[in-house]
Amino acid sequence: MTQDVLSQGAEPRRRLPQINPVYILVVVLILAIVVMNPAFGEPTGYMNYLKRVAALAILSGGALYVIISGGFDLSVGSTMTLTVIGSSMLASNDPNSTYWIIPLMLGIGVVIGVINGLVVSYLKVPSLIATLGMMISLNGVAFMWSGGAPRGYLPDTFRFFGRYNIADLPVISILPIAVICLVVFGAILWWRQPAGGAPCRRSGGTHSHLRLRRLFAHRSFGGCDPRRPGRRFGQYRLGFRIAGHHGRGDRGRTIARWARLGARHHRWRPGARSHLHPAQPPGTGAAGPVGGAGTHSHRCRGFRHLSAATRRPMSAGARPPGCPSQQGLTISRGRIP
Amino acid sequence: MKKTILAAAVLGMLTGASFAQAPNFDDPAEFAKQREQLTGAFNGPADKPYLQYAGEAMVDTSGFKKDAPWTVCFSNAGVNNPWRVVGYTDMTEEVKLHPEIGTFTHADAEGSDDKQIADIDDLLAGGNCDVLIVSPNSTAALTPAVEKACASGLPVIVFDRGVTTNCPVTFVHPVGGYGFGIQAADHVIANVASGGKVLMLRISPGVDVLETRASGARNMFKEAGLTILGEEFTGGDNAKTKSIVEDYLQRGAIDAVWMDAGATAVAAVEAFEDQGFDVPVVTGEDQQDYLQKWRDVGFKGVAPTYPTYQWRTAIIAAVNTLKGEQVPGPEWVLPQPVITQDVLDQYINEKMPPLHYAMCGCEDMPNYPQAWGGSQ
Repeated sequence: MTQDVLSQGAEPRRRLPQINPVYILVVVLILAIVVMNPAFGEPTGYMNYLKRVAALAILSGGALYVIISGGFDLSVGSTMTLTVIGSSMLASNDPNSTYWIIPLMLGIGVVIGVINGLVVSYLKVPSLIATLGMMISLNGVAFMWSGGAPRGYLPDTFRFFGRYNIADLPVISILPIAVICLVVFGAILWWRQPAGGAPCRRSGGTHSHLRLRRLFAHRSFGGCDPRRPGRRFGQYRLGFRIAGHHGRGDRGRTIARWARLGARHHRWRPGARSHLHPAQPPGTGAAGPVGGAGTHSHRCRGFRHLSAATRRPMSAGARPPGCPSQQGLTISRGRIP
Repeated sequence: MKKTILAAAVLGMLTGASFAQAPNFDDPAEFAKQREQLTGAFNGPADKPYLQYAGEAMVDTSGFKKDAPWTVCFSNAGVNNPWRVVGYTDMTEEVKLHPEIGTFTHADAEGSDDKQIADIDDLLAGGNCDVLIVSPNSTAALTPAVEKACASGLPVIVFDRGVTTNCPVTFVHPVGGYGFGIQAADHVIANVASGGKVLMLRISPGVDVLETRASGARNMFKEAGLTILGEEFTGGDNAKTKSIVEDYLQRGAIDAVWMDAGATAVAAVEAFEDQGFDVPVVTGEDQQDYLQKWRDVGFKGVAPTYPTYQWRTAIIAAVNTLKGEQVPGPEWVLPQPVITQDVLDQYINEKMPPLHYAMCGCEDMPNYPQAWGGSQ
């Protein structure tokens, strides 16, 4: 009897924190943008917004797997740099090259991810250090390959995924190909997620990032079993595969600005700094770096929050805010249970 | 008391620093001079614009005469944009035309002031250079390094971007940044009604030839009664350029985009296309991708140029200096043509790469077009 009363009384109290604050933040930010810039609330404005954040969203999907296993990946940005530069130089404005360059770049992503995964899982090098080394190495490779100069050109066939919109549709009016890519990726990741969307939780204890408890069990990307280093390795590999894929789409200057991916070759290092901004914070926000939990729905909120937060002032006519602070906010949001 | 002295000292240093290196990027006299030069006459062969020069002033270089072979040293701000890639190819091909140049030493500063200052120090310390060519990364930061090089007794040739010292033998440059800004702004003003809205896109701050492009154009827009929607720095990044234009488009119409350099002009054009707007006036430069986009889409374009043939001229100036021959100076002002609709087709060459700059003055060189990535 007494127990029943207690449990009934406790329930409403528990309910409130169950709403992840990221949701509230996203709604508030989007409303704020719409108030300041009504065009954003229209379907075309929102579709363009999704188009621009699609690359970031996909990238953060890869980052999530790494962060969930207690690691961090600094080399995402330089993977993008290398693949964008490589694509541009190899393509050299030849429309027919797209078909072999995209698989090649995905392959480069896989190789980089495999090396990172092996170094972290088997050589036991902390992920920050291992991927920092990879980041510097890849930048060096990109620099040597290109001579530090913008070269080559991306043909329109290559940029199709990032740039083109299906026009004249009812209700949404335009549907960018990038958004289709985003939805497909989201669906794949969702499907690959552990049954029931259960998060990959790490056990407590600050030293125990290998001591992951359940999850991702028996999925091909590797689970969180701390006794099986191959699991983490799998997560790095996935992270890089996605980063590589993303880099490909991006290189098309693809998705308009897709997280600087579309930088084509004018800047010799497109993708620079993407290891911190913008891919990690959404992933981090989702995974919760200190004993947190992560699902792709968390991640989606994370990236939408971040994108909205950084975009709002631009849409309103102001200069971009200090992005680092927004990222910090996203990360801290993710840590709120 | 100590605090007062300290505060006074800090204040003094700050004030001193602000006056010590404060290049004037908005000089009406220079603006007027360049406007005149744009249409003025040039000396030298008309079919070789890289040898032409404005005015009659020459510098005596007999003191620098030296027997060949020479070591020509070049401190380069970077090859980090397509314009510089084309220019550097012009330069290396020009070096091949001069058998007296025994060694050509190139130091690439990769767009860093600090590295370029160190590069110049290294080149001077090496003691092998017979002449030093400098293309400064930024104006104020590189002035002391150039002064130091002059003080070492080496003949110094500065080209492209400038420094605030007259110590070099000559400073090779086209008419200048004001001229570029004028050419683009004239076109905008002629095609946009008074009260129209102009978005100004710039690469980066602090470089004299870019600052003056903007200040000249800004003054002209204000005088013509145009509204400047904003001035944004793109960092030469296509993706950033496109998103900036998209953001402005969401807030309202844009009647013209004025650009201080054309490398990202196609990205600006695509922002209009992808949002379903007609492309308004978008200024650019002589880069092939822009010229072709302009022709294909048919918007009201214009391509002021900052010709890459000046990279050839820098070598020619160095060679003439070491021969002890007179060179135009203290400024060697080259012609700075503008590509308009009437002459657009002359400058489009589908066989050259999209990032090639048409005004290279390189068509008469032995390795053209292969060395620039073109096909026969």
